[in-house]
Amino acid sequence: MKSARRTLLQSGLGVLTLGLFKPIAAWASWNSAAFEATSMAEALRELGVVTAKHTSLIRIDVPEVVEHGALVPVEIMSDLDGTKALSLLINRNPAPFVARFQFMTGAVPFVRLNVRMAESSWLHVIAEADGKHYVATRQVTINPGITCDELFD
Amino acid sequence: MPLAQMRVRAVSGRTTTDVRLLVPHAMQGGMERDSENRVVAAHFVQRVSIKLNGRLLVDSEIGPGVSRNPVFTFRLAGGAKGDKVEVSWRDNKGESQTVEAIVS
Repeated sequence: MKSARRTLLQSGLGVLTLGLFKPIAAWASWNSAAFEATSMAEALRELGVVTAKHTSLIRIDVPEVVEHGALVPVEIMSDLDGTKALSLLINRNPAPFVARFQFMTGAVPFVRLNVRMAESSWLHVIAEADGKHYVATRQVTINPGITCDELFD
Repeated sequence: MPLAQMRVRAVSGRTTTDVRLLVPHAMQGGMERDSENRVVAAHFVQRVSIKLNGRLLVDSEIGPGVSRNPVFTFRLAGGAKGDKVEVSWRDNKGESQTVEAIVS
């Protein structure tokens, strides 16, 4: 009994099977086509968004002006009933699709995170609720600089 | 390079529980170059998930548009002191980490 266990351990088979099969079972697919899309239209197509209705029930909390595009704090939340997922897109980024969050029953459709912005841009949040898509947008300006007039005011 | 441990905090409020996590990760998108002009290989977190008492509540797909050393706050409906929160992430090279926290 003991020797059989030893042999199995020494052959590394136990470790190998764990390493190979566990991640595949535990993690679903990652939408590489949407992440590699270089335009908003392409990203939306890959995400399966055909039409999205504008709504004020998606709340986006983001500064209007930021110094740095490397770390822009964003808070998104949906008050739409039955929100299943929230996707975040930044249309002037080289790759507009940033993230998609899926919320099961028992989770509030809310997330706070920091994102990268290549330049001043619109930020779009798309919510999925009862099989439909909804959208809300905010504009963010990156480092507008400071003019001489402002310096001497 | 050994990965630093992800930090997780779960704090219950009146009706919800906030789960805050920090993943020490470079989040390299594969577009940058180093000081010798070599392309830095893409290396970024692709998935983050949250479980409460063993039940999956939040699953996410993320890309290099998320800042370096990502910090996320998620909100769970319910959740009481002593409940077990399990946070996992996985990156494009197959590295992963799972950290448990008790709701306080």
